[in-house]
Amino acid sequence: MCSADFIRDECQMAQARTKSDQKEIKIALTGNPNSGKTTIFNHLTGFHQRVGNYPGVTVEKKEGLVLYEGHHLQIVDLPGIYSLTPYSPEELITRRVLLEEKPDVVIDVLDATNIERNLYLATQLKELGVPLVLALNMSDEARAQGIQFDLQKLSALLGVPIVPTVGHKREGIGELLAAAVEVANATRDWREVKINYGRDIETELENIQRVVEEEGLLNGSYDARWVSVKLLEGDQDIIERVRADRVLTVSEEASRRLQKLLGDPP
Amino acid sequence: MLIPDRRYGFISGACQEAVRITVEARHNMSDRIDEVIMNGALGIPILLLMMYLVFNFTFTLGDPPMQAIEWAFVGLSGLITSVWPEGTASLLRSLLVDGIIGGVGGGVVFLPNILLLFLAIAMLEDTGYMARAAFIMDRLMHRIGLHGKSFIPLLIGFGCSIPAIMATRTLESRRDRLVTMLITPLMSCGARLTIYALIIPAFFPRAWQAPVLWIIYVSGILLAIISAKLLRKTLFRGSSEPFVMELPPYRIPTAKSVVIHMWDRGKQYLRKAGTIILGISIVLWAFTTFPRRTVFSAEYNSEVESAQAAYGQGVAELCARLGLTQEGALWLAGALENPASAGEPAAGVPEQDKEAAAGFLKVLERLEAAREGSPAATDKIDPEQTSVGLSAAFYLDQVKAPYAEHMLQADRRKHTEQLSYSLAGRIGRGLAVVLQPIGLDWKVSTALIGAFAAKEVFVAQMGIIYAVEDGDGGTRTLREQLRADYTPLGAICILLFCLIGTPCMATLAVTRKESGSWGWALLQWGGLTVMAYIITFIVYQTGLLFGLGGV
Repeated sequence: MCSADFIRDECQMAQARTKSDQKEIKIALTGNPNSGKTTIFNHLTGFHQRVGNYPGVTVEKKEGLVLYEGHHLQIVDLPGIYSLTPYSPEELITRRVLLEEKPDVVIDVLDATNIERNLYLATQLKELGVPLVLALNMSDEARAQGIQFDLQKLSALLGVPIVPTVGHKREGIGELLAAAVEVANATRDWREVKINYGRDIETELENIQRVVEEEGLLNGSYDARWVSVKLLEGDQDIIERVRADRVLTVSEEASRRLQKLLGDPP
Repeated sequence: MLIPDRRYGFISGACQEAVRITVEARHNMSDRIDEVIMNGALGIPILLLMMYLVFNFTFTLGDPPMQAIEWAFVGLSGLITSVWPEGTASLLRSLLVDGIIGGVGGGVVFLPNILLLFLAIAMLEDTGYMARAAFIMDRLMHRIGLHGKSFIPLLIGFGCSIPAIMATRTLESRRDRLVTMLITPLMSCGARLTIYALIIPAFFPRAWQAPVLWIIYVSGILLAIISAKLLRKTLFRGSSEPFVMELPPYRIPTAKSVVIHMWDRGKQYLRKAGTIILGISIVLWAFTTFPRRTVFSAEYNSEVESAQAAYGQGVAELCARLGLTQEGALWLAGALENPASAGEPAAGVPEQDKEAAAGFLKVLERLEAAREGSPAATDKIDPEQTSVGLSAAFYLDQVKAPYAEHMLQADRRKHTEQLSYSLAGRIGRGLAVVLQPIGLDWKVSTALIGAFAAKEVFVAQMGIIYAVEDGDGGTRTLREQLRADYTPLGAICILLFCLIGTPCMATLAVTRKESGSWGWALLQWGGLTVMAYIITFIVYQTGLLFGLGGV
């Protein structure tokens, strides 16, 4: 069984390499630790994995190549993280890959039994503006625990396609790939999601964003609102890379004002 | 950790709608509060209670400062009137007292109520309750074609439409936002309450006043619902995309943030009072004052003449009663007209006349004091007892009072003539041709021009029109005059038209800014005006049919 799979995959790979006109789709896989991300990665790529390291850090880099319905897929397994803050090398690498390698689609694997905490990363990914698909993994276990999802509604609310999967039973993997390819080809417009941070923070964000746009920071390759949110959050990585005193002054002032007004740091 | 909190609020809102956890209970503080507040059965009753508390808080606490402001403005105009050098530049005094102080005072008087409403809303927003209120209202709001998030702007609309329309920014879908914006003026704003506060007590007995006010507010809400549905079926068809209503964790708000949020919205209202209302008050005052009429109608002149003739006859009869000679009668007439400058009787007046007249004046003075003042004074004078007392009563009741009444009427006629001669009167009469079928006469039409500038100006404008400057000033006299001019049906028509019709200039401007086009602003303005006209027309004509009388 396994060897048959192996041969078929090899064959597909060979076909993919010869068909140079086929567009290559780059897929990044993210998710919280223990969300079943690696199982999903294994199912997606079969045995065609290449393991290496990101330059300079000990974070493992896993990649795989797959042919799916004529599409040449390059799948990158990113380290398991909870958030897109720059507090750990894992988080930093995830962010750099997402922002600089610009994958065509990001699959975020969620642990359905722990949905609210897992959505925190998903929300940040959506905010970052990357093309996103959510894999609601361990959905069978969640159901057994009495958690019911209105997937259509959740998908509409978050502006993201959601595919229920059961990693260890290989359920939903085909649907997940289909959804990922669809998002990568942008055949459907997904609504942009803007989190409303409340009047006070929004007002400050507007100010910072205006200055960020005026200064044309980071070659405009990052979304200005996202950069502003990160500055206000005190994101060291972004602060170091921005290197424009005017922007930093504005965001520091904003942060101080909010702290004074609301009694908490932003 | 404000930003992460908000992100969790977003997730929490999405999960509240799309994820049901039946077994595992969630357990942080916010979730526990939400279990009660967002409970299917308790949610709406708690929300209604909260709204009741907000309005109760607003009006109970707002009353004393309101009266203080009113008192201060009345005092200020009184002071200016009294220290103003007699006979000099009465036009300037009129501008200051009737135009500026009257106009701006009418607007500022409502500031405490509006600030308190915004304070209450700021507290509910900052604790995180408002987000829950939007959530609870969502299903209901969807039924009328709106979104849960529309609830907050509409609530702010009860204070002032301007911050309310700005608050629609939280709505993500443009369609929802525009519909909410367009119907917001139907939430009866604080400025319109000044109109109700003038009209309702003038026409309805005490027991009816609160219900009438309630009916007005509810009519606005019902019309908003109907309009929203109508807009959804015509201009804004199709279902709207769902979006997440954030449920940020509950927080204890800081005093600073609450005050700043209140002030944010309050200052927009105050700015309107300070600029638009001030400017418009001056313009409207000029409109009602110029061109000045110098020659008054024959009716006015004959009215004055006949009043004076009747007075003269009365005084003659009084002198006959007192048995005065001609010289004595002449002196007494002068003394009655101007007691201060009468001085000692002239040499030609016989001694007994002096005594009789002086005695009469003394009794008259005491009788007047007794009638005006303490009941204790009455015991000492029994007008029935002495013939002098009887004469004094005769003078007061049958000579002086009718004369004052006549002169007041003549004066009123003079003011009316001046007003209808003025620019405002001319415009008002032009408008009245159109507004007559809905029960509004030229005076109300003139005031409505002011109401377009800002709703509070309506009251000031009615005050100027009724020229209360010669009376005691204040709304009491104005109410009496209104009662003489309109029927309760007419009053209802005024109330309805002011509730629905012609959003004020500032609303128009902010709708233009927030919607990004004059088209929506004009649609809002035109739509509401037409709606006001049609509804008032139906009410007035139906009322006439049932014989309720017109203007």
